[in-house]
Amino acid sequence: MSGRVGTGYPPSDQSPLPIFKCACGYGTLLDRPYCPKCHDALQHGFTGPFGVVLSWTIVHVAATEEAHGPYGLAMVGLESGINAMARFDVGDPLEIGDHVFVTLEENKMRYARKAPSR
Amino acid sequence: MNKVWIAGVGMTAFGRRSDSLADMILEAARNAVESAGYDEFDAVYVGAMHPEGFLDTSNLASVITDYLGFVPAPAMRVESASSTGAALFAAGFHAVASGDCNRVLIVAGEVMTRVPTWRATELMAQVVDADERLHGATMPALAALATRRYMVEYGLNSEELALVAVKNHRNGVKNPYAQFRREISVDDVISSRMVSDPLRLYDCSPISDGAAALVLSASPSGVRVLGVGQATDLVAVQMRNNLTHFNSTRIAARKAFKMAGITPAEIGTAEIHDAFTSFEIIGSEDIGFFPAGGGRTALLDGITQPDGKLPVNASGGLKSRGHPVGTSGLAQIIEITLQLTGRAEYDHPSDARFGLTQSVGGLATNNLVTIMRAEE
Repeated sequence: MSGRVGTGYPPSDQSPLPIFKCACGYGTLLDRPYCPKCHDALQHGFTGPFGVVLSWTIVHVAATEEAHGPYGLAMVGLESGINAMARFDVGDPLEIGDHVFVTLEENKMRYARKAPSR
Repeated sequence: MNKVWIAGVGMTAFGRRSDSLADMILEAARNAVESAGYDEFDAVYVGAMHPEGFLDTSNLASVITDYLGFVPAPAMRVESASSTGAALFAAGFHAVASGDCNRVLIVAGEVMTRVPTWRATELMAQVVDADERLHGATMPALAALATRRYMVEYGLNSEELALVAVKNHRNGVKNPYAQFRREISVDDVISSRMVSDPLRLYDCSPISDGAAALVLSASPSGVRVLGVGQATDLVAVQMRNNLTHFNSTRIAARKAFKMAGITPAEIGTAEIHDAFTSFEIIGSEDIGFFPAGGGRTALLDGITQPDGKLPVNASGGLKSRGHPVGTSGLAQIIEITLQLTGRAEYDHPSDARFGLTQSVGGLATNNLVTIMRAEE
């Protein structure tokens, strides 16, 4: 788990992110069978990758012997209202309110990068 | 529902201990059983969060009941991550309240210091949702996300946050069970090494060994259990709609106050799960003592000091007593019992009639609130 974002992975694009969504409007990036709001079965769907940083931390004490901090961890509020946890590059720090886009990479991890102005 | 009283309590000193888990639980249980004056129990409830990982052992309910000499009493283990001790107490409370049991022995213990710190962090991180753990989320990292958002929304700065650690370390000086019995300064906190920004080493409770025991009875005693409330939350923080506060505490508190038939304003002393300094402030708001953001003001105004209107963690809390994860929830209840009966050796309100504990399991995935009353 390097502190650099995207190292060794293809250049990031701004594709929609796969989600699990409910007819009631609830959605999540995580694979869950039932909606936590109304208990209906969740269906596959997609959501846009753009959002704002709700909070962030830089982890200095990592959770495994192999992992080494520091690495950035952000909570991003996507435009669809779904929250996404994502790693970010400590060399390109984020602040609360920053506009970012979130990518899903081959290692199954999401990364947040500052969004180009639109 | 039958009435339930706390008939006896016992605890070991917390910290780095060389004793076995069974011997620490035995030490605590002896004190609880002696102070209760009973030596027969209808059931034994045993709590430990992760003896499989920390000690490579299992079947704890039977092993401990055997070691304590209470075979053939029915025994079971209760686990709800870092609120295990409080969930254990709730299970025992329901057994007595239902009328099924008259006397229940509750014991909890955790030995965490036999593994390296990275391994303890890894074992604790196993409570985190799999997707969030894949992203490198540790317990302090998730707490840090809540803390930073709280600091920005409610205007709390690092020096103010450090006051929780300063208060609780000062409170712990006179607690004979406490792991850290020395004062620290705001400077010590804000210059300690960063764990997960903005949480520093002194914002986090320590890795500890320790055991606690308590006897519940259907016969009147010095402290009555008035209310027990529990609620869960979605394990993945990104699936929740609130980053700064914990719905599990809010629901648990509502249930406990409803059962107790009292209001937050009547509580005279509280032990709140300060695994991280910010959790004390957030918890004090979720319980209903203060409105959102009011926990900060209460801290700055000295309301939560031992001589304030609502002392919080007069015992020193998890921060200075230590945090053997499966034990802490029960230790908090024992501290309130000692305070309500005037037996606590540290500064605490002498006139408190009602006391409350709040325990957080995982990143607030399974929280409990317990309310007790000093009997006349």
